[in-house]
Amino acid sequence: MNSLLKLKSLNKYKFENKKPKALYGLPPLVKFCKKCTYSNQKPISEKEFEHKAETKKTVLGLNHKGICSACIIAEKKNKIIDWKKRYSELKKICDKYRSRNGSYDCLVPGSGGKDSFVQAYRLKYEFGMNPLTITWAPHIYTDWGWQNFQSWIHSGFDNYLFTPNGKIHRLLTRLAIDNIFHPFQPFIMGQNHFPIKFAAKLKNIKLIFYGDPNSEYGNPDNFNSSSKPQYYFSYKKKEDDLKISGLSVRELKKKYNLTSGDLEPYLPINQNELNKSKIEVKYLGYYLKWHPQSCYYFASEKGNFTTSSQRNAGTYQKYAGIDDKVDDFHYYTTFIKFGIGRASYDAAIDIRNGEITRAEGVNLVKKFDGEYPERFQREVFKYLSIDKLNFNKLRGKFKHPEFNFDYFQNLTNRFRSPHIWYYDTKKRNWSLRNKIS
Amino acid sequence: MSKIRIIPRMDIKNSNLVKTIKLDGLRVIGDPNKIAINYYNNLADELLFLDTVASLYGRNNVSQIISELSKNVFIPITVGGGIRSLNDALSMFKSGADKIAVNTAAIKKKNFLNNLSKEFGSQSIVTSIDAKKIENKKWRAFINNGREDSGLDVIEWSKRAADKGAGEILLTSIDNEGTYKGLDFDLFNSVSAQVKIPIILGGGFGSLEDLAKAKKMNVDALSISGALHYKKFSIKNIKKKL
Amino acid sequence: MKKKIISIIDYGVGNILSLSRAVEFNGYKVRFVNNPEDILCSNTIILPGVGAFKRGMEKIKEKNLYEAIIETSNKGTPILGICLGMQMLAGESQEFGKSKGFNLIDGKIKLMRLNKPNKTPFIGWKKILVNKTTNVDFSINKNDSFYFIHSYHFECERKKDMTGFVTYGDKKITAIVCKDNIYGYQFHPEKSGKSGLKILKYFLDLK
Repeated sequence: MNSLLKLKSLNKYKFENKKPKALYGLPPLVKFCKKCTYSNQKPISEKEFEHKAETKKTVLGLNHKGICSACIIAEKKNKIIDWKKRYSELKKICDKYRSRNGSYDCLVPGSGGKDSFVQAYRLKYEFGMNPLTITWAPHIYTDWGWQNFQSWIHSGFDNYLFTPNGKIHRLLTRLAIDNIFHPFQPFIMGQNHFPIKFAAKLKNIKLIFYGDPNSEYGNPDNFNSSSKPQYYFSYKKKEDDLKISGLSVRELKKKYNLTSGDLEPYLPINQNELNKSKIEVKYLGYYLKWHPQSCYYFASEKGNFTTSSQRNAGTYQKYAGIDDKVDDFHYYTTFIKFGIGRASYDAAIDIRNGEITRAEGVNLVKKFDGEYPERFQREVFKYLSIDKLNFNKLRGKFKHPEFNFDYFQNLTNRFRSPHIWYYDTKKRNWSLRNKIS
Repeated sequence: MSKIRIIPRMDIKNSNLVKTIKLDGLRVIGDPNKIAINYYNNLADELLFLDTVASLYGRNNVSQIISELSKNVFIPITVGGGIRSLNDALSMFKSGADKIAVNTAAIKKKNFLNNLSKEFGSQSIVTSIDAKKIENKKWRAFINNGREDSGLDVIEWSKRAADKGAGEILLTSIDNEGTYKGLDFDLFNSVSAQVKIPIILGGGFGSLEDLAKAKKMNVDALSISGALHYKKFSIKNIKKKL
Repeated sequence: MKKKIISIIDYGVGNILSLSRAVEFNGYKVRFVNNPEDILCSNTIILPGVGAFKRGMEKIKEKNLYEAIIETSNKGTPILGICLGMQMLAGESQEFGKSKGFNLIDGKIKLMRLNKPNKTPFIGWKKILVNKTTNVDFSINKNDSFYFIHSYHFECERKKDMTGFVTYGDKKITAIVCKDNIYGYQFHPEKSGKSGLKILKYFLDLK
């Protein structure tokens, strides 16, 4: 309750407010897709390196029938696309790039999760390629995450594991949750940007295969694109103007004594360098019809894939997004910011793939969405704390270097948008203004 | 010693037969009616139906399936999934179930098993235990269809369940379920050393070696799903080996 | 379609639904009876039952059916007891102290003491061997097996009443009793697949 006293004004969260303010440039009227469990508050992929606290979000649109673009794309996926044709297109690309001397011919970024398992496996054993798998390490490995990573390697792939400097990663993650309530952002940036830079440095890998464009935030731009749009992972302007954790590189260098070298793994590749490298970045999901649940079965049958021991917080499944102990918190923050939690994401995907009906999805969302992630709370809070041993000099830069439950509650409340949340003064709890039905 | 009972396990979601791996996923296999009748004709000893999402949606659809089925199939039918009250149980029996399987409610409601066995008789109450290995020779009982850890040790819970009046235990290894890598005989032995009631062992059946071992260890019954649904084995073949 | 109506006694014990379905599958009509008058005018009766002997007999007496059943049997009406129903045909049971049964076939109900690894209650399928001295032909094939679930068994006073039995090692346990118009099946014919339907039909077809 301490945290509530710190909240400057609960007035904007009153239930009775007729026109509550919408933060992040989100649409003030919340609407749910008629086919799935997404709402119009869902942001679609953005250029993380331009992301500031004040950034106005680009959101998923609903058409005049109230159907979201992700569902429209899914329908096209099932009805319009000539998958045979795309399969042979993929064959042609592989034929073009396949190594003739046993060297690596493509890079497969991944973690050993169900999707990357399928990507690497099919490329190697079905299309005859020689992939090098590349992994950006999770913040904190779960036991099963590490096990799946090892199983992946042991099913027959070379792997390059890059683990970012622990101190810097913790610092950036903490800054990210403080400034933009997006603890996963530095990780996402590294995961997105590092592989291309790595390939550019290696010089002999000209092809990178990502997985399913549509499981990445359902971005309509990517739908008909076999290649990942360059503007997602490359930049034209000055490096100092790029942003991480809601701060510019310039600010990070100045205030936190970071160097270009420290930040390099996170930053996108320069456009000119990218052009010179002639690397192609493709989506495997463009050529092969991607069915997430089938990937789970495939990885289990061919690779000893194991699930999380319990269902993930905020959702009903235990086989997706399980490598990192910080995963649970990531989805909790999206629930706070956009009113869309993990069950909403999972149910939406399952609905589009025909595993469940919308009515079932709604039930699942009502049951699990927004569940507080208790499981790894202690470890994650420790990870996010600016402790004396590791960050002695930087502690002074933080009003509250220790990251604990009260601090997190307080932080959480600051990021609740009044148009999504109201505060019930009698019951003393937060509720969504618009619940899915 | 009489032969080991072979019981096909059918996981049902709405009107479909589905197959999970480690109790997750919902891959559809087909029409449960046809498949069940096929098993009956091929000399299955009993049938086991579990509603995989009953505990999520608060309803059990299997009653409709067995209502029809029990008009043509004359072997014992066990039904489970989301049975939370005496009324739920009664409606399952009225639909044609001979036995009911309870898991989550048995763990969460202290006297549920007692009340069920008093009302309907122990012989018709199966306690279903989904076991996840924690370390060597230690397993934990999971609830809500393998989604949540109840915190209870499987061996201790089995003993208590038997004391509370369960007539049989359906013991499933979550780790092996859907993988065909073999049954967890350590799990079976640990539990059967502590309880006197029959145990139906399931999760991971994948080879005829499993049968030989089951025979040796005096397993009372086997619950088999993937190996039968995907026709890796037929009931006839299995029974021949026994 | 045979016209005979089979009466199944509904005294609140046992799964009469499956049983009625099995009877119907064999081409007969079913009616459930739970009062003395209906029992007395039945021409074929099935007495089902599961669970405890004492409770079963109490329920019979609660519904005032005891005398009616005795009288009907004296008339020569075919009566089939299934599982607990068969056990109640005996003189007495030793479960929970002594309780009296219908005493239509001399014998006692006792706890089965089986050697390891057999457990009680016994749940499973067994083949039935027919007593050589019997002259009743149930047409049981050597491959037929039947579904049993019980902890207690019927120990016949007269060996010839034990028409069918199962073996556990060297122990013989009564599976079928038969004396004049009184029949008993320890197993569940309605749960014993096709073999069960067949042996049920044997009884249903009796004149």
